[in-house]
Amino acid sequence: MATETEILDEKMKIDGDPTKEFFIFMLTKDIDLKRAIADLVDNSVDGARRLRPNGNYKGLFVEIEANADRFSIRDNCGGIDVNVARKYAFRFGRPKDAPEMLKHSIGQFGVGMKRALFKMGRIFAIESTTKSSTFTIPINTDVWARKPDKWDFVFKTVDENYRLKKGEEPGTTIEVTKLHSSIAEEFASENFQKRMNLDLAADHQFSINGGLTISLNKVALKHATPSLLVSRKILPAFQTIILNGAAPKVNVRLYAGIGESDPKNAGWSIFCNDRMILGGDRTIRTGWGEEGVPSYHNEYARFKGYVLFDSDRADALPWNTTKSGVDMDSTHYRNVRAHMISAMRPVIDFMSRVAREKKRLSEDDESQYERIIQEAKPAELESVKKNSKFQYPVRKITTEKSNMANIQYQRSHDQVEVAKSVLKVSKASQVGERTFDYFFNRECK
Amino acid sequence: MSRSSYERINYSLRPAKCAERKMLCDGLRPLQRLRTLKSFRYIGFGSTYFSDFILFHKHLGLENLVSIEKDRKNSPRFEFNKPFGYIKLKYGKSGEVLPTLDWNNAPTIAWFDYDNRLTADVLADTSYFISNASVPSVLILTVNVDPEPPDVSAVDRNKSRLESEVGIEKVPADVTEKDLEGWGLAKTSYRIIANEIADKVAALNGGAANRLLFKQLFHFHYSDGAKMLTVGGLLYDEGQDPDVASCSFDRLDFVRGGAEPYALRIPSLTFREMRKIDEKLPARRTPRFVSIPIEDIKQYIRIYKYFPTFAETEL
Repeated sequence: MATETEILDEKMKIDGDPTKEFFIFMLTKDIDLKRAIADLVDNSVDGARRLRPNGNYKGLFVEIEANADRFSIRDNCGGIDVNVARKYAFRFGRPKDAPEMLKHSIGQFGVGMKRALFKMGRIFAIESTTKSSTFTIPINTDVWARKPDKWDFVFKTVDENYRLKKGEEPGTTIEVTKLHSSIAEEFASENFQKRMNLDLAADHQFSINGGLTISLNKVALKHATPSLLVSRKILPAFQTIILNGAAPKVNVRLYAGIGESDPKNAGWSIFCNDRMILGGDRTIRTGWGEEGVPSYHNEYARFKGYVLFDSDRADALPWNTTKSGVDMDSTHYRNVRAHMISAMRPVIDFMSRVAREKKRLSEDDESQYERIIQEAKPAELESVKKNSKFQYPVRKITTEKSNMANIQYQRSHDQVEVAKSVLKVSKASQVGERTFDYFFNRECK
Repeated sequence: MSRSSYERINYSLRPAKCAERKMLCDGLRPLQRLRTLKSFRYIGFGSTYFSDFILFHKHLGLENLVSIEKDRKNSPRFEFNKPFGYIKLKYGKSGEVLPTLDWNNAPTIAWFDYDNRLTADVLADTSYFISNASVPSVLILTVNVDPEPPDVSAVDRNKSRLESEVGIEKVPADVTEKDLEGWGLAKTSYRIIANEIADKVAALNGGAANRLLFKQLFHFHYSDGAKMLTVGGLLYDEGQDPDVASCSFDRLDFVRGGAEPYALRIPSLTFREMRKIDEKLPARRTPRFVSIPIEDIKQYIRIYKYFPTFAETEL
């Protein structure tokens, strides 16, 4: 029987328990579908890193299938240990006492997998096999949500003394069915599939280039290796920064230079433990439009900057929980951003000079700077040598034509074509010069 | 400088195009079950020949006719060739002209008969039309789908050209260079157009009370030299479903609702041969003539109603 104080306590109690519906809603609201799937791939990539700390992922694969009926992801990247599954992998959030899961990991907040699954549908099946254990977990969220106080999931099968069959590889398979209708609609769209293909390839470009095969609906993802133009005359900036205040050590590599003109992808790309979290950024987040750096303009379409943060401790890296951007409040990022701003200024000055030179030249003249750029060859980041700032030859932009004046005018194409053939020249500027000389010699001498 | 196709070729002498035009005309006629044909506006690229305008005006009774002409320089020539006062000429690129037209309560039949390949601009016109057209409206697109000539030295030339012309994000992920040879570029261009329309319709249906639907009616492959693709269909809303069903578009032999095209092939026959075949119609068995390939006879019988006949005349 309840005592008087307990009854009083009960009266005074205000219910603060989270409801599962609220939890699911909050969890899935802030992440878009492509990011949620990238999170699942992160788990596989972490597995690959565990198996192959040297970064050579040849032979490892992640296969994603997504259509209007189902989503699945299957890998041979080592699997989830039963004990990890039981204690950590399915908890919402990572408990403080969780063991150091993996040095250099990219999964860290303990929400990625759950969030991705809830985002997509209502029925999940997870099966995973390691060298020594195997388990399966079926989850029906409708049934799960009906019991407000019970947050546990239940293994369907579990074997902690498992021995791999011949030819069997340790790995994980996750399947989602009963997709939410909006998700099914997106998966059915070929355009969505292509955007997902491009985004996943960009997010995981380092792992892909390290030999990991990631496929989406049987199409292997591809991504060009990040590179910068290098020549005897043009040298990209490459600095290394070690951040180690009170927090665990974070190594930073920072590159700034030029690449092919690419207005869609120019800008800064930021990686945390090889996972891209920001690609081709041209906003104030990466220093554009601040401290003497102009706002982005197509003149700067060749700008390419890469910042690679690496740390054994994922929580020391400046990413947000959806890995879709930098945590602007991170002291580490604020520090590095100041370096980024200093590193990009000479690159921007160079591109402004190229543009100024082009403006002064007429269509037919060859730009000296353009030629210098053409001579430079793309070099992978790994091969770029340390160099505190971007270097380029400073030239006088135009030859001094102190006694020269420019004349510009327009005449119809047809007339100019006729004049060209009469004068036997191929350029419009020559028509201008010859006709001027013709007039001058007859009328002004 | 390359000349526009109207300067190179007389439209009315392209036999497959001519047959296609007549088929489209027949394919549009059932729209009268939705509303009177006269109440549809027609938007096309009339060029100097206005062949589509003449046909649709005379046979469907369309009167509100808008021709978009990008060649502003030669406007006197276009005005001179305008066959009816009903036609209003609008100068500029289609992407510039479309937003200047009135889209409120203006059911429209549009045939964007581009002579160029599929580009981001074509997709932008498609999106613009889907987003702005009143229901019911018909959108028909024709694009050139001639791939680059084979060249072993250039890797992925068709693919990289397509990616740069339409945007890499629009080229389906599984498309390889091999898929773009022969009629492959037509198949891929079709997929890109169909994806664009489906995505736009899905986006517009987000949160809308009355669902927008697109029923594909036309999917032609033909060639009068260059390979061409035509895709078209009806944009309507859910409420019009019974009326659209009563149009019975599917009864027409050339109507195609999916990825399988209607290959419009014009067999090469002489007048005498055609007259001979005509005399045998209707025929339960394909009539045979000594040396005419049986496939040509079969094909002729399939499309003889739309078969163009050209003769040299002095008017």
